[in-house]
Amino acid sequence: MSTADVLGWVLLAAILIYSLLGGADFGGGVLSALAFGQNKNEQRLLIRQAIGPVWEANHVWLILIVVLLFTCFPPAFAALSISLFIPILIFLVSVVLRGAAFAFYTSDYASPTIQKYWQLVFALASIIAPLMLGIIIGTVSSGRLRFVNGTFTGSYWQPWLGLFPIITGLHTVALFAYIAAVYLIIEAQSLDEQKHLIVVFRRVALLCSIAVFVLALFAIILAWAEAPIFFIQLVTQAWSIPLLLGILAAAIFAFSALLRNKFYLARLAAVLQIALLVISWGAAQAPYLIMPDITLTAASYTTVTQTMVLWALGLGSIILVPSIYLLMRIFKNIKII
Amino acid sequence: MTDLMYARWLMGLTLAFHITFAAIGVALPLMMTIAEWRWLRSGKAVYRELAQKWSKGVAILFAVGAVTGTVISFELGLLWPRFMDFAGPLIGFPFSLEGFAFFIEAIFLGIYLYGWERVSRQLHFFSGIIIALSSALSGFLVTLTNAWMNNPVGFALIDGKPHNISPIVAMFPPGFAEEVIHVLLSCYAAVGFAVAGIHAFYLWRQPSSTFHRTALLIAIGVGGIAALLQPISGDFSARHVATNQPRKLAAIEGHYLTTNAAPLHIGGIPDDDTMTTPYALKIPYGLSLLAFHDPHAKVLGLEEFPRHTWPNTLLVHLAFQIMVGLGFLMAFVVLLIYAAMLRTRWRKQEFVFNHTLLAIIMLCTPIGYIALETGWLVTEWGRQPYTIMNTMLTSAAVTPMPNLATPFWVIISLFALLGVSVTILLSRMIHKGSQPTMATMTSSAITSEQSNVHC
Repeated sequence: MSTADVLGWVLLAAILIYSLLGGADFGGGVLSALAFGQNKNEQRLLIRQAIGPVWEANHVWLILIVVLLFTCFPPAFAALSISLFIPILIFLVSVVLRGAAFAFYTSDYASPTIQKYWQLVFALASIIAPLMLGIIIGTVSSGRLRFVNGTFTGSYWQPWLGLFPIITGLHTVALFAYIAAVYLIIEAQSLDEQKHLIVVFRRVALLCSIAVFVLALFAIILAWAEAPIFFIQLVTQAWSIPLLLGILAAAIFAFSALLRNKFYLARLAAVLQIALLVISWGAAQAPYLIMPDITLTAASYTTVTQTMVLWALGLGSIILVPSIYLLMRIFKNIKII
Repeated sequence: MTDLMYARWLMGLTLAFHITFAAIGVALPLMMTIAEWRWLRSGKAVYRELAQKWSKGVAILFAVGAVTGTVISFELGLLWPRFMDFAGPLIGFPFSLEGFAFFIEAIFLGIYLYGWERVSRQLHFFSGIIIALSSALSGFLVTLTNAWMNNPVGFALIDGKPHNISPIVAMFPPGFAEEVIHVLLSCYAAVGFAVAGIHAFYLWRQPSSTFHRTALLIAIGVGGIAALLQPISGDFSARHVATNQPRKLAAIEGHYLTTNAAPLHIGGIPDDDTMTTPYALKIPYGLSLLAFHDPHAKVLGLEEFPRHTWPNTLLVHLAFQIMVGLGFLMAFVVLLIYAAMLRTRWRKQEFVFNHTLLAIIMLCTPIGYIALETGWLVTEWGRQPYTIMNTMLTSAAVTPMPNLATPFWVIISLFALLGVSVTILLSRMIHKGSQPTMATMTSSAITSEQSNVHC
């Protein structure tokens, strides 16, 4: 494997972790928007308590992804920034509004009316951001972004406003809501006065799981029609069947664990489900950063910088991993089963 | 306005907005940690109260700093894809390290803010130290990028592309130390003065408040030391600019004609057409002396450089005058306060902030920030028309995307919203007298939300 390939996998790992951590924060926002019933304010409170101590650390994975892209694959970063200017801008605005709104409405000082508005902004931005993220990912896989000699040749609207990107966008929203619901059951277990919310989030998790399944099915069918290269790579490689079966198995396992009230097992299976999903997306996407014109190798200027970044990542994680562990141990119940 | 101008305005306003919060992120954690350290040492509750109060400010402002910083990392690509395509492998490495520093800061900030009742005192204090250190480290690493844009090194330019890239050489370009120190000191000075001004206002109204007196002392301590060191650091920076970026120096000074024994221009309005700087107070030998520490040294004028590569002389000159003027004013005010403190100590009296001192401190609230922003404008405007000095024109770096007016107005409205909200929030927060801790806050939030449920 070349340095560029290794970095491609590192990039994928960062996307995976961002989906599992940052994704859950967005999902919390989605569920906050969809909260219903008599205890919807309690649900929202639980969500914001769960997100509070960790969202900023979870957000940094996004920065890491951006920095890795422009440091190691600068032509791809430039190409994405130009061709997907509009969805990236919408994503960015939502990310900013989500973060700021969260910080503002969790602060104790705003008046209740203002807090209500921020709560609304937080919820809406939490839906739009993953929608755009999914659309961006779907577009990158669709083969609709074309570059001639590195120069973008298409329109700024048409490539990402396709059915396939939009379905991947919706799929991402459902996925984030799903993982958030699965985590929130365990958050609800931690305090006595929140125990009654377990039932709520269990039901939400089950519903989201079904939505995820249906949208995934749609996405695969649409990929066959609209993202042919991606589809062929996704289903015809040696790893294809085991990975896809793995996702299905993990999804079914998570579903049945939820039904049987085995919440730690459900969380483990859901994490595995999303991990396998992201990995199979990445494996089908490889060796392209943007299908079909920009590969990892073509977007690599210099291995010197790439090698140094790999070293920095390795050495940096010696400090980073224990720090994240510490944060999670203090604020999150990290028991596995 | 052209798309290029929209891109420049958007990037400039984003950075100006971000710097406001980034500076707080660098300086306030230090002050907060000093307060906590005093609490651990003395056991006096007022220090703990202060650390908690400041940490609430850090929380909100760090969040805004983090999101505006995210905007920057995306805007680099959205607005300047060609710059990033060129410079990514050269400046990306310090950015990656900055990512780590930011990560560590975010993690320990979570522990600090939410951990008052959950972690040991030692771990809590340690978290504060880590936040203060990692935020300064972030500032250091990000400034390296700007130093590189001013002095691009670490590659060979062949056919408009960088070759033989050395990220380590690029990471520490000439003048990096001068610039980084100058930037970090400006953060401590600006935030120190701003915080001191706010507490001075409350001490004026509640002269017996130990809380505001303590806060004022720490803020003046941190901001004051930085403000005293800043003129020295400024001298180092200026001499570096003189040798390495002569065109920028000429613009800063409104110095058009190459001369030996060049005078220093204080004030004045540079005029590119007549190539003079009328209305300036001219100090003979001043510029040669300051720039090269030699009264007869030759200083290159703008005439040495092609006309189309001149920065906007008027703006650069004015921004520089404001920065230096305010910098000296801050140092002077600090000396005044320290002298007052020493005098009471000699007389073995207890030091009190009298109304004159408080009034001066209040008047000085914004000046550190104005100096910080104008100083940043000097380095950015002074580099124009280049994004990468002598290597890439700003007009060559901009995106081909049309209609940049739309993203400009979208993001500017977003910032306006954030700016207004943060101001309202902070003023509420400062007005609020006693200070709930995070734990009691959360439980009171629970009760209030539950009462919502019942009604």
